Amino acid sequence: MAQAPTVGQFEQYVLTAVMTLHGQAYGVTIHAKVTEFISPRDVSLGAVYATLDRLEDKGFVASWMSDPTPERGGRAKRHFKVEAAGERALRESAVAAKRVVDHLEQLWGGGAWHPSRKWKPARLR
Amino acid sequence: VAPEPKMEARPPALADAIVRALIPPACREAVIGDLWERYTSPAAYLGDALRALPFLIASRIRRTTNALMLAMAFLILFVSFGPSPGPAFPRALVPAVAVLAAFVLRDVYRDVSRSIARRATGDAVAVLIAAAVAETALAVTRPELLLTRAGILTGSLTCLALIAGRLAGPRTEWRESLAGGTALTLDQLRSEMSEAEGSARRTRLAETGAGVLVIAGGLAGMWFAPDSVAKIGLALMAAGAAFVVAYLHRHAMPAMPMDLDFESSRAVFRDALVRGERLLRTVWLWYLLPLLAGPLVLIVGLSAKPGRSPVQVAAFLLVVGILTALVAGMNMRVARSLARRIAALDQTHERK
Repeated sequence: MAQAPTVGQFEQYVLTAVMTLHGQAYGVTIHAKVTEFISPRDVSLGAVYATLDRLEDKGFVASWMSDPTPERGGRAKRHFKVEAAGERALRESAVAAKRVVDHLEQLWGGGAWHPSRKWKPARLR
Repeated sequence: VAPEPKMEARPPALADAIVRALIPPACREAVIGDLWERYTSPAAYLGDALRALPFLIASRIRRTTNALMLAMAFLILFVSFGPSPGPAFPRALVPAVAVLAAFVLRDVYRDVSRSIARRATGDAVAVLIAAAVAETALAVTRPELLLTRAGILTGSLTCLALIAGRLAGPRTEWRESLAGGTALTLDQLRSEMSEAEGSARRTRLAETGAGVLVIAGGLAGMWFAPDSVAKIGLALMAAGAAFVVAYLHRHAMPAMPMDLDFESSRAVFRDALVRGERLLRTVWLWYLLPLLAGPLVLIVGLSAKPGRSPVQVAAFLLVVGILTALVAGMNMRVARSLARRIAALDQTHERK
């Protein structure tokens, strides 16, 4: 039986961005949201487009073209929404990430969330 | 106090024209719209576009390129550019890679709204430019690797055949229009059906054309064949091609009715897709076996000739084996894609 496609780390950011934008998800807004997630790092608009294409091929998001708007030179927006399969995959990856975080919290204590604060890994104490 | 520089709200026409030419047509509208929305200055606009471009091209390559098809085209081009004395391997490699790169880029920049004639002309021009650039580079660096007249002739004919084969393929990628769970209007569904029917018809025409050529070549070759084994091989080739052509016509996709309601149309379309998938999955039986018999007899006859080295015979067998595996793999891949399309069609519902 074929394995269901999974989501990579960057795909998680993009899926989450599409989900949080509630119907206002298109290239510019998704890019802004992803940049907010991974700040202070930067990300190219092209990387977001390529990831959206990949997510669409996996059946995780669906896209449609809106009506053209004058501020975009009369061009349409390509809107995105998360499909049920995408939500399921995101949930699974979030649960896995939560387990990792729980383990790290046990190992590192609260210091893991405050990189500026000095902390010692529990294992070395 | 100096007046504040007036902010330009839209990119200059030249910058916009450059960006427009560089961005693949399939995503041009949405991407340029996004770039306009983010516009602050011409430099930032061009920078944004150029940074996005490699990702857009890579994504289009991933979506439009079939690795198996590419491998098969490479093998065919490589063999067709090679017939010459001397170092056939590097001589055939450079133009084959250049032509293949031209095909890949043509797919990336394919504009589905263009007519078949314009697409064919574009393909031919791109192939010509790629081959000319490759040969010019060789003329400067390694003149001994330039193509011979025989290589140019067979290579050009092969390129024309490949261009004709590309035109037989679907004009749009179904996944861009019929994604799983998407609501479709009746008109959109009918357009999908008509496109699938047109694609099947073009494929059948191309296969029939190729079949007629093989039949004519096989029958004509029988007159000049030096021995009875070669005559049998050529006769089998012609008979195999005739069988394939007849089988394809018997199992052709029926005309799609355009006067049914959504559910009935979907049922008819689904049946046609299921039959197409079955045809692709049994390609070994009705396509490869009949077509393989002739070449195998010819190779056996060749190996019996005095002075023929076993390495040459093994090389022929290898090429036939690789081509067979590639054709089979490609058909299985298309069959899997068709199965996904059927599954997507099952989830599709009508949008009023």
